[in-house]
Amino acid sequence: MTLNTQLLAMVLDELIPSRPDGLLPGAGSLGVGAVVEHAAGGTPELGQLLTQGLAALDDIARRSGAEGFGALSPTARVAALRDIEQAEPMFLSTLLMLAYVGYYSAEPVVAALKGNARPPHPLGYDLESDDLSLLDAVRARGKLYREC
Amino acid sequence: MTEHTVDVLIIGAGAAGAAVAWSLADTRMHILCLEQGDWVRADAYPGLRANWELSQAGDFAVSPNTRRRPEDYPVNDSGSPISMSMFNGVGGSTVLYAAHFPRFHPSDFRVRTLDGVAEDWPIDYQRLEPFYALNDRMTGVAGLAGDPAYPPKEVPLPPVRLGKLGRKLASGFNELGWHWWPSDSAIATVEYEGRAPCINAGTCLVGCPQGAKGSADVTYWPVALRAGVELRTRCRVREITVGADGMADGVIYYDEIGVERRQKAEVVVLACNGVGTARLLLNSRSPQFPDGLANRSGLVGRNLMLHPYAATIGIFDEPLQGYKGPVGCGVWSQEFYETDPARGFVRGFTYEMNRSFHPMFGALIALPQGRLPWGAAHHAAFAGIHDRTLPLLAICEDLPDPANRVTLDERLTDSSGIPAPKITYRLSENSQSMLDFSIARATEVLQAAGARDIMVESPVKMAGWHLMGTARMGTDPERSVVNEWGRCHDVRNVFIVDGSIFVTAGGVNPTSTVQALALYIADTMKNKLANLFD
Ligand SMILES: Cc1cc2nc3c(=O)[nH]c(=O)nc-3n(C[C@H](O)[C@H](O)[C@H](O)COP(=O)(O)OP(=O)(O)OC[C@H]3O[C@@H](n4cnc5c(N)ncnc54)[C@H](O)[C@@H]3O)c2cc1C
Ligand code: SF4
Repeated sequence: MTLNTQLLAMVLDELIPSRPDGLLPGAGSLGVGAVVEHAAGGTPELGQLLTQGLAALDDIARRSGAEGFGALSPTARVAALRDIEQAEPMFLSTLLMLAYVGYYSAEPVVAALKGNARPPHPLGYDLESDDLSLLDAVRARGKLYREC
Repeated sequence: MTEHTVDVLIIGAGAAGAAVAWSLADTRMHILCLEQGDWVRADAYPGLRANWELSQAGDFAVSPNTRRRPEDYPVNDSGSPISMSMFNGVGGSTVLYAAHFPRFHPSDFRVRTLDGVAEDWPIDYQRLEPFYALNDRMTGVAGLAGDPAYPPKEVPLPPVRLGKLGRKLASGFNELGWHWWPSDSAIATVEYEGRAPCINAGTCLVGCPQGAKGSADVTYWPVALRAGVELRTRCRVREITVGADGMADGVIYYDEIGVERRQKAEVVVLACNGVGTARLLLNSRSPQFPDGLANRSGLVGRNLMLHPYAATIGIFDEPLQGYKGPVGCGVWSQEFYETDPARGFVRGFTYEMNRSFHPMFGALIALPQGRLPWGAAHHAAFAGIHDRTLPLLAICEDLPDPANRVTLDERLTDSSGIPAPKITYRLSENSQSMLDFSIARATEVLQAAGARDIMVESPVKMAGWHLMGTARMGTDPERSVVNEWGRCHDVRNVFIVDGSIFVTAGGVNPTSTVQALALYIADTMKNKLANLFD
């Protein structure tokens, strides 16, 4: 079962839209659909849940007279997503989880949040040394463990 | 068919297997370790990639059911509110562990005498102390001597730095007058025994490419191999076999290309962790042991203890730079460790500071809490939590309950056809009260530290990190599986050295005690070599 890639990207752009400052695209435009498709490909039940959920979303759009989800106005897209959230909560919460996994691990997002694109290793980060006089009060209380 | 008989066959190359292999090496016996996983190469660690967090949902996930590497076995944990976490490879679960490294307290070995619950251990803190100290040196433990929550002890390396986050939390504890201390951490804070120092990169839970984290593949294994121990990876043991005399005579295993083989041994040592060891014993049925090897007491697999965790997460107004530093190490508090009947539960817990959530994990924590909506409000909500979280985890002591157990699943198997373990586990009322109490107190301390808002997850679903109690130690063969030095009551040449033999769980992470016990058992075996089976 393959997912409707175009529809998936449109939905993802609604779930995580572009950042208002324009520095980050929405999840669909960023390519998070690939992460969702990869997950769906690995587990048949997940693939089925997502395929059926997307089809149900398109059906909601068609029932309102549009040709499909993509033909809806921005406000109507949000309304359709709210409807599917009620009707198929498992579908939407699963898709959201995968969207967050893909979006917040993506290099451009991590780079924008951190201010640089380098991986944590091998340079790491500096942590300044501590003033351990903070512990004076703890030391003053004395022994805490039970002797036995 | 391998016909050569080794002196000692260790199953599992994790924290316990590595320590016991290293200690026994100086006997110059032929010691062989069979491990179902492989080495993780330093350049394979996700921390070297900017999108490293994605691997937590894939090939470095803590659950074998998500990770699904060929060497993993599935665990049916649908009957538990807490799911099982482990890693299968050289170093075992320490490859992914957070390296928070507290010892047990003296009182943990005397819970029946002191608090009237569970059982006393057949050994005490004093007996284990030299092995704790040895293990601290072998592992390279960082911390600060003088913690009033413990009897005096040396700490080999300077403490992990607190950072802005740790100082904030410490100020909260000081405000309330509660105990806190820089935590003992199995992390090389300076260069140690050829290991590079920690660079505060914060990716510890998907492994440490730096080699600073004291996982058993970088601490014990290199020395054990140099001392002559043989380690065969990608070898999965199916069962331990017994001879006509009722003693173990070896194992049947599948080698790296899946061929069934037999390995004979004089002594078998199990180190497969609190789930894997019970699974293997239960799968080793024979006419002499129809209910599983060494299971005449019926206790193999029973009394599974997990450490229920509560996560109380403070949200602060300003960025905390909490992505810097080892993720699970920094500050602990043992203000509520020892029993106080006025609290409404027995025993106690440790608070362990976690660093702020990285972006992906933070989003996944906030999602079920309703804190991270989709749509137009999404980015503003994310900005309100990103690098502003201070998670305070309570590691609660879990009391043994025979109904909490590991059995063999009737349908689910691993890729070699070996039955998968099935977990039956429920939270006790005592644990639930302790979790609730820990959340209320953590809220107070986080607010004292300046948190503007609090999120809670309890029990933490993914936190089946500590697997204990399923083949417990004791002097009475009717009420325990191994004796006071790890030898099975029913089979005198089979030893167990992992967390299965814990009698109680303590309120601290277990690995320091797992390894101290493994060293103590190895030492006792060496002292009794001439009459090991008497
Ligand atoms: C995410 C995470 C975080 C953790 N954080 C901490 C922490 O901060 N502090 C702490 O003290 N502890 C922590 N732990 C727990 C710690 O990792 C374990 O206590 C420790 O590794 C247990 O050691 P072990 O040798 O008993 O088992 P393991 O280290 O799990 O090793 C068992 C080994 O046996 C092998 N094995 C199992 N069955 C077979 C078989 N049939 N044939 C061949 N090989 C087999 C496995 O592949 C594995 O390598 C954490 C664990 C996880 C998963
Ligand atoms: S923070 Fe330190 S211990 Fe953790 S992964 Fe980075 S270097 Fe290793």
